[in-house]
Amino acid sequence: MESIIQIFVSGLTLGAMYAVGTVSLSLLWGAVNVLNMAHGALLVIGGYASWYTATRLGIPPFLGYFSAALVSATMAVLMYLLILRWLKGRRGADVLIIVATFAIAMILENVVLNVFGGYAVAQPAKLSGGVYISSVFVPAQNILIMVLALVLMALLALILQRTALGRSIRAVAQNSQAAVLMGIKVQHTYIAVYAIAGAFAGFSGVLWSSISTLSPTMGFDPMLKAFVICVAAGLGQIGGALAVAILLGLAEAAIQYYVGVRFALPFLLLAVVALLIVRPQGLFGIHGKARQ
Amino acid sequence: MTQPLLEIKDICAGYGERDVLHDVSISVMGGEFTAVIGPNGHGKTTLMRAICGLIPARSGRVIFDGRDMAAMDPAARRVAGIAMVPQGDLLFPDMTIRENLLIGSNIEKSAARRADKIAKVFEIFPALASRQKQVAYTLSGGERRMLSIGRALAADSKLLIVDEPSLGLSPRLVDDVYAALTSLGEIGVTILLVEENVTRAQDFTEQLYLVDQGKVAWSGTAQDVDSAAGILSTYLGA
Repeated sequence: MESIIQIFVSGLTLGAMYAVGTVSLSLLWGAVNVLNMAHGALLVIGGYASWYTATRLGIPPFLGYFSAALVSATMAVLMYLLILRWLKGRRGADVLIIVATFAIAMILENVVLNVFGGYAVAQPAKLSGGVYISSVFVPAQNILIMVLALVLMALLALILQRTALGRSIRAVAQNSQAAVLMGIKVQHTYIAVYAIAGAFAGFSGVLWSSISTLSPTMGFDPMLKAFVICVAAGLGQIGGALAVAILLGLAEAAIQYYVGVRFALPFLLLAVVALLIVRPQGLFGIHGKARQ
Repeated sequence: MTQPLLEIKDICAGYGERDVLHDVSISVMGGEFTAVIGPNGHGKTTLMRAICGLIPARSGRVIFDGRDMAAMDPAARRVAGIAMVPQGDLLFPDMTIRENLLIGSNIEKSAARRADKIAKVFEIFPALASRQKQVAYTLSGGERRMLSIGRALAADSKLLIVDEPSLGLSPRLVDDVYAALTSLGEIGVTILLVEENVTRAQDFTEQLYLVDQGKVAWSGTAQDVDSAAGILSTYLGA
């Protein structure tokens, strides 16, 4: 029983973190058709923004989540305005954007490395202590991660389903030409999507670094997981990505517990490859459905 | 003399290096139905796209309601009162009927006005009212066309451009769509119609323009069509 509780707590914590991180990637793909290779760098920027405001500016650590969201959102919007929007619509834009965002990631990570150094530091925005469920100790930070992920997901669902901005985002994602004809300012909508995706990435950076450490290269693992989840769910399927994130977190925790920590990632990657052979469009993707 | 609601003067437009429209001029009077007819692939839809601002005019002018539209993007033209029902409907397939209409009304600032506009659309198309939560991709061809027209009407629109309303529909559904368009005319909506079927266009409109190879090859009233049968058959094979 204790092992089950342990797996559930670890799995749900991982799943919650994956969910927050994946939303950013999935939203950009689903709404603006951009595969963002700078996703990991935006996480790193967010993590360091939180660390900097708490340790250097003396702002209470938990406001670090907001500074992370703000800084990463700003960075994502700048990335779009200064570089990516000039590539959209060009011949081979998809590949150009992948290369450009990869280059942006390299630049940002090197800037962070030069400014903050290569040594890992601790994320100050974390709770100490915890509670016992049966005889299993559950760290308070894990509970905070699950609660924050729930709140963020609910907020995103609210924005996408219930607000004019959300409708505009969905309209642009489903048919950008029709959206233009309806008077939607597509450029403004794109900026909003980048801001939301950036904010989620920044937030995710703080969550990740709160249970491990903060370093300039910490973005790679979350980005890999986010890609795996996006592909397994079906690119652009935000709801599906959330479900897969939770499943993947639970599976990872179970494999780590029963088989060994080092087997979790290879096993999951194999499972995703097998899934894609059987269902190339992903678990929730619609076969043959093309963007209009 | 009354000013036209829409005046296209010597417009040239196209895609990439290729010009599709060559010095096209047409006028649409307020409260009237006007049709642009012509064979497939000769510039009718391109003309509509240029009016809406989806492609830029290389030369010439689009004057709508007394204002030059040159500097206006499609969103601004929508706010000015130009609404388009595009070929193939271009609905938002994963959204409900109501959400599609909300998007259509998004240029209205107040929630009360949006609700009022959507209520009016449901008055015109009662079949949509009873299924507001139905997702658009599950609708039949005729229902999709109704929703597309309703979406264009869900904000203050002075001019409704309808591109090929009969495309892909059975004759009975085409009758339904035209009946709906006729009812719009009765409440004062100005309609610019793109249609390949001359007889339909003649029955429905006051003024017709034949666009062939990107130029206006003939224009006249619905009554002139019979006397111009020779010209029309040359271009349309009618």
